[in-house]
Amino acid sequence: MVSFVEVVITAASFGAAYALLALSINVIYSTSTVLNFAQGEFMMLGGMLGWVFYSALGLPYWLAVVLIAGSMGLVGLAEYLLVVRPLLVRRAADIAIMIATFGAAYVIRTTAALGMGRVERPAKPPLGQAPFVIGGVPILPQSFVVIGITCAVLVLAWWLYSRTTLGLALRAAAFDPDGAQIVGINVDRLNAVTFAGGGILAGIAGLLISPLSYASPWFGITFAISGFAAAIVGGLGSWPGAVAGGLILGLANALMLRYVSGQWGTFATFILLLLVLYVRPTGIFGERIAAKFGTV
Amino acid sequence: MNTASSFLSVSGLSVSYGQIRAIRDVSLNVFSGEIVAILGANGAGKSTLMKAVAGLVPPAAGNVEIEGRSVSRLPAHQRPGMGVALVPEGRKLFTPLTVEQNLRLGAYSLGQSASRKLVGERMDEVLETFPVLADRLHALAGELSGGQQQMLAIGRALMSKPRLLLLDEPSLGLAPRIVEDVFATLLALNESRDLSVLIAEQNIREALAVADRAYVIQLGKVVIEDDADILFDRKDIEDVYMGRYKDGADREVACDDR
Ligand SMILES: Nc1ncnc2c1ncn2[C@@H]1O[C@H](COP(=O)(O)OP(=O)(O)OP(=O)(O)O)[C@@H](O)[C@H]1O
Ligand SMILES: [Mg+2]
Repeated sequence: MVSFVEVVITAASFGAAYALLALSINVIYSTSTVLNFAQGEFMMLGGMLGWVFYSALGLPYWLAVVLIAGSMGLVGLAEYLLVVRPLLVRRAADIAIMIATFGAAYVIRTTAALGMGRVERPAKPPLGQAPFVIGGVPILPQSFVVIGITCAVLVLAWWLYSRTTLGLALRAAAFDPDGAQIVGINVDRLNAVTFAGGGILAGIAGLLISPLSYASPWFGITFAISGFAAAIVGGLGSWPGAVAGGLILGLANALMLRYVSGQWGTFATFILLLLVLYVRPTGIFGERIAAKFGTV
Repeated sequence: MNTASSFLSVSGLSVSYGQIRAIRDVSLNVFSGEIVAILGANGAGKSTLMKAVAGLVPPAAGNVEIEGRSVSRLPAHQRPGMGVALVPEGRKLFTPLTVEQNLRLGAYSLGQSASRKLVGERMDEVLETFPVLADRLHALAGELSGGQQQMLAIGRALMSKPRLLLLDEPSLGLAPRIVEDVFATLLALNESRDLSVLIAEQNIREALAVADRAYVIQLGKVVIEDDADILFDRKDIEDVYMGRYKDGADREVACDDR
């Protein structure tokens, strides 16, 4: 019983962080159709900036959140303007753009490593370390923060995409950029908006999860693998898919961590990814549902 | 004719795709309230001309003016705001979205400030024009029949209340009876709301029956320009459709040097 509750809480909190990262991947993908491999590094930057603003400088948490959202929005925008947009304008192949985002990821990671060193820094959780005890299991308050904020972001994203004209335009831009432009949608500007939004979401995911793991220039890669796997297992571009994929991978990782060893988390991720793609090449919610709730 | 009332004026327009020159030195006018047809065979350059007017392809030379203002530098997404709406070849509907959502996006150029009421009024007008759409508001656009999709594409364009409607082969893939309906609707819209229409067609007879004037393009150049009823009576009009029209040595040379 104790280990079951432990596994569920670990699965849910890490699953929520993966879902948030998968969501940020979808935000960018479902408008610009760019798979941005720098998202894991955005997450890392969010965690690092969280450590700087909150743990080291001791700013109020809300201010740290605002500063991180602002700076990560700018980082996302910068990546779009400097790396992605020049290639889109020249009608570069999707694969070329993807590789350019790998380059951007590398630059961000290296810059962070040079600036902050290769240390793993424990990030201070905003609600303290004193655990709640549920079913005899001590649970860090931060777990609830991660899960709660992820749920809130999901509701917001669902509302934006299904209930507002901006959300419709974001979906239309991806589906048919020419069709979107002739009704007056500025596709270029929406792309920029989604990169900023993707940066903010991933940065917040990093800020939230760092107290449960640590902040270091290298943790972006680990999370990127899980985040992309979550997005793909769930079905690229699909909102329910991001959540389902995140939770499934969170569960797989938590089970591995509890019963085998933390080292095997990534192994489990890839096995799951392969299994799901064998059975459903479009991911769990790919195509059919994505067409309705997300974008294709 | 008096150019002051020219809503659309295209002069010396050329468009290239890399090495391929798709249209060359095309000049044409659409006067306010007119229906003008662009006729030509496959690959003549009709769609390229429409796209250039809508801003989807940049001109290599020449100029596009809307109400006397040059829009050649204006990006495509700003042209609906100038009163120009394109119903593109292949319709380019947002098929994963519903009919209603497609129509709402048609009013996107009115801006976020456009009130729900205004958008609702526009939608009511469009649904009055195309009553079949009213029954399918919550169906996905991709689930509509070809004819219904064409009506939705026109309806989406009308949502921005354009002054000029650009229609690229609206009859493509439609049954003759549906084509008649669509053209009758265009005529009615043209008469009832001061809407100019530029329509590219291969369906020559149908197009000439509704048009005031027509331009025939062949290999990217205008080869005939005349009143629609005069062209309607010309025996050699079918040759144009087949791309066989020849009118004097100068034009033949012009075509050959491509
Ligand atoms: N995207 C493109 N890239 C390269 N060449 C193109 C492109 N689009 C059109 N062309 C070429 O430009 C010329 C004119 O094409 P366009 O589509 O304007 O003709 P059209 O009159 O609309 O023909 P259709 O009746 O078949 O639609 C053709 O030779 C075509 O091959
Ligand atoms: Mg065409």
